[in-house]
Amino acid sequence: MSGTTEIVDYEELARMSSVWGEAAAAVARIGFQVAALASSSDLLVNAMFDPMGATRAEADILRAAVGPHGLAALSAGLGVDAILLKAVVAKEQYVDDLPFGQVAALEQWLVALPIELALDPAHTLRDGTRDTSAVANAIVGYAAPHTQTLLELFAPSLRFRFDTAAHRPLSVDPVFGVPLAPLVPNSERIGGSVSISRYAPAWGSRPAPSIGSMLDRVGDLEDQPAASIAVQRVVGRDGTQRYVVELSGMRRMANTADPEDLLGSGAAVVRTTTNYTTCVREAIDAALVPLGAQVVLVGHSEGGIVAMDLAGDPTFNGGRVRVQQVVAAGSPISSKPVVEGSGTRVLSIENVNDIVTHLDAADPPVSRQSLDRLTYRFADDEHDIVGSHSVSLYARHAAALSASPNPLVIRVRAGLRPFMEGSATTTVFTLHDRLTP
Amino acid sequence: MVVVVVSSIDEIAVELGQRATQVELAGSQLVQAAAEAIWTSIAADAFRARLARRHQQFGAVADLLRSAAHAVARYSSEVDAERARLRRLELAAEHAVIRGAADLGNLGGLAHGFIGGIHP
Repeated sequence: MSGTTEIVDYEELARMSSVWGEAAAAVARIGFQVAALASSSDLLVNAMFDPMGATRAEADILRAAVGPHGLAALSAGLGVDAILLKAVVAKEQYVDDLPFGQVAALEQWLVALPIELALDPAHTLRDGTRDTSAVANAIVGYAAPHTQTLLELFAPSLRFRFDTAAHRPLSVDPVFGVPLAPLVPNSERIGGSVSISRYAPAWGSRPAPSIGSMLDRVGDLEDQPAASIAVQRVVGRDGTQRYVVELSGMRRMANTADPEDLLGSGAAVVRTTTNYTTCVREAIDAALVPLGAQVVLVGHSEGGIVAMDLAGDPTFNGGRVRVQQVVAAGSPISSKPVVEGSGTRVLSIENVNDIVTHLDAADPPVSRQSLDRLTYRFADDEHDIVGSHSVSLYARHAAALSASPNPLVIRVRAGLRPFMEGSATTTVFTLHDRLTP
Repeated sequence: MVVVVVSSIDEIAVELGQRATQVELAGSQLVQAAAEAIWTSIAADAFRARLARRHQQFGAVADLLRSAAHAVARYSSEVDAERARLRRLELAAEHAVIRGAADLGNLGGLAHGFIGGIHP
């Protein structure tokens, strides 16, 4: 994406290339069928009754099938279009996204190594470590779009490869095929509690006007010193109370006293009941959300995974509240289902260069999307794992959806409108791993 | 690959008409797919111009298919007319033969009676 008016979305180009390729194949198929009609026995057998007419009919059919402006030529033209689109995407993915800067810095360090090492060994090694890390960091984002393919081909565990190919939820590790769910410690799945935070966000009294601003609010929660989620009550013009639950993502790699750490995130990927889901249930109760109320769950990273875990749990979605829509950004949720028959819609926003979105080893389909399950994918390689995953980057790209002409996006926006209009009150909760005392 | 089997010339014409509709639909779907894309740039404008040309090509191919359908339908009518004409000729010939045979029969009867009458 560049500038304010120019958007180059390579995922969209990849999708169009796929649509064009399918169209070329369909037209070629029609061409073959039409050409076959020219040699139909009915035409030939009856030619003795009207030889000129038979010749004319056959010539017209063949002109439509294989003539210079017929189906075969059209199919070839569409095929060329599809290849051109693919070439644009390939150039972006394999050439423009190459981390030239990082590689050049490392190369420069290597060239100067013999001299620098003699002058200041400690400083030289520090620089070398920094440059090597930068290249490694950039290469992760560069290779991220191919994660599923790489895992399908090279993961040592056969079970893992089968699960990936079948688009099944992640359940075993890719190396040894060990089931992951039992590895989650009790401290990440049987606890969970909330306390009301003293933080009163500036946006608390206004409903979010767009999907982008919903994610901005999640980003605001992620900036708070403590792990936080927000429950916003929106009273619509029709007097109906609806709720938007904002779920922040992972904050620390090291183990912390709240569920927003690496272990908590891992638990959310492989289990559906975790400390975080318990926290959300408690927050819903504490905010006095009525039974069966309409709810939208908005989450970034771990928050998005937790949103899907809850949307797929019938005791929550349908049992406690009705989840109308999940908006997940930067979350590996492609293989996570919602409760069957719940009517819950899922909008997943994914940066293909964000390795986190590929951690479930399942990519969403490029074409044939639906309103129930819509994935908006964009490509924005920041050459940095954290940068490509940041909620502010997702919020920026989600802002483009406000003007999207895509009919599915338009319908998602229409479904969210009641949650974006009226008066609002917000309660922020702090999350804890410990059980309620 | 499915090859459509048709059992008469008219069905070939109908088949061609249906293919024309399919082609037009495919063209509209491409336009729709491009319209849904969140993509604005100089390259996007160039591609959309290319798409407009492709859409016209879809229309032209559909016209070719309809024209072929008309040619086949015309041919079918000609064949039907020719067959009807031949059938009429055939019937006329049949009638002539039957009438000839009957005349011959009558003539035979007369001859038989005549010969029987002069025989002692």
